[in-house]
Amino acid sequence: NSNSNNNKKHVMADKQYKLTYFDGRGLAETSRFLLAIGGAKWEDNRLPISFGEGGAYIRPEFDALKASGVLPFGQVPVLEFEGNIIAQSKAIERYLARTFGLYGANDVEAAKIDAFSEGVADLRVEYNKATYWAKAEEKEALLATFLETHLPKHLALLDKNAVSGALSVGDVQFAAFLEALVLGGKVTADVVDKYANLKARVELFNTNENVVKHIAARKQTVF
Amino acid sequence: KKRVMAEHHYKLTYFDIRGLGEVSRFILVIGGAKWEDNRLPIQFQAAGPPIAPEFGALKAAGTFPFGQLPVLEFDGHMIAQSKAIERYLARTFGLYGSNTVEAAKIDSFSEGVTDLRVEFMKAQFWAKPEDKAALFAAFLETHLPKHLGLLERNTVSGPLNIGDVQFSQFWEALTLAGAVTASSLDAYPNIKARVELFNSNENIVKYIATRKPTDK
Repeated sequence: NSNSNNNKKHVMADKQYKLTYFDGRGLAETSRFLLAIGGAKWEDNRLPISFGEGGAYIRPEFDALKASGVLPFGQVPVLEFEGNIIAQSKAIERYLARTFGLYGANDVEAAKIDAFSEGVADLRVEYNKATYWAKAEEKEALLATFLETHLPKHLALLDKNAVSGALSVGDVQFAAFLEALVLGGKVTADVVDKYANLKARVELFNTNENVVKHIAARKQTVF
Repeated sequence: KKRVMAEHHYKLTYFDIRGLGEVSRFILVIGGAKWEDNRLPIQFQAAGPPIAPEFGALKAAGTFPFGQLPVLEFDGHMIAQSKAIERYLARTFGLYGSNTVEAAKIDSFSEGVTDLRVEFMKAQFWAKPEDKAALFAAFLETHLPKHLGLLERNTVSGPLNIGDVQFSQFWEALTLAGAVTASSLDAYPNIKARVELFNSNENIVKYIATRKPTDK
């Protein structure tokens, strides 16, 4: 059984994947991590983006791609392979996780990993409410409340629901979100120290050889 | 595998409303599962949080992995988070396509439905009371048509899938709330066809005919 999984991984690693997103971590970094962890041959197609007056986006290559109608939801990231194009960051993540064996050993384990994953999504929604979705004049207060109240509450729930065993898609999603908060100067990495299970999962991610290489080679971006 | 799965007994615990439990109920029904519909009483008030003492007691006892409902129990396991439950049941009962690529396309549509739900939540549940009327009008005029247009381009043909069930449940909720009518889908023939596939499923027809009506 483990032999056939290894054979499957070998075949998968010969495939050529192309991940298209903006030149930033954003909603694609989890998928980049998954491709790296899986040892895939993949193209990191980064579309230039800068920010103009009043926060306007300057991203002509993306605009052209969107206008061409090739993006299924008019958004990025998209993952292309073997003539297929898959949109929606979480659909891409779940596909890659299944392909590279980051979804547990059976359907029940996959469900528990998925529950943790949804817990990370809930945390992201709270963060979005306090930042991207908030009115400008409310952001400072909302972010303070997020850091003081919502974040600890959700970290405790995630700590209770961490799934032990091999690195999973939930671990990667949480680590990518935590990294974004840390790199954005919102928290320091030791914010997980009180949560032993969660801390262990983040360390499992941080010590993965392919993750270490990916982060070392990765160009630094604003987002 | 489907036959073996059908012999398992599932217990779905949620409030006595459709809410975030109905998609899972639909999938259990479509799959022909043996299941228990464990509905906990809940009363909504004009001001203040909902009243649900049975839930409150179980929550205080640490019963629920995320302190929330729904949860699905089977074979000594308890799975939390509505979408994790939905995806588990969809996989178990064959509503995820016939290979991993098809599953990814179905998942993509499913995420599109989630995006639409989030816009709805922003306009209704997460909005301040004084903003709700204007935000909901904007939802109906702008966000809903935009997302329906995107979903129209991303339906996955073939047997009923989890995305179809999720969209149909959301559409049902909007319809029962009087926000849309059946003809609101006329401009979206692919989506309309998928909803009709859902509506004409024998098990769904039976389930909806005997289901107790609730406000939410």
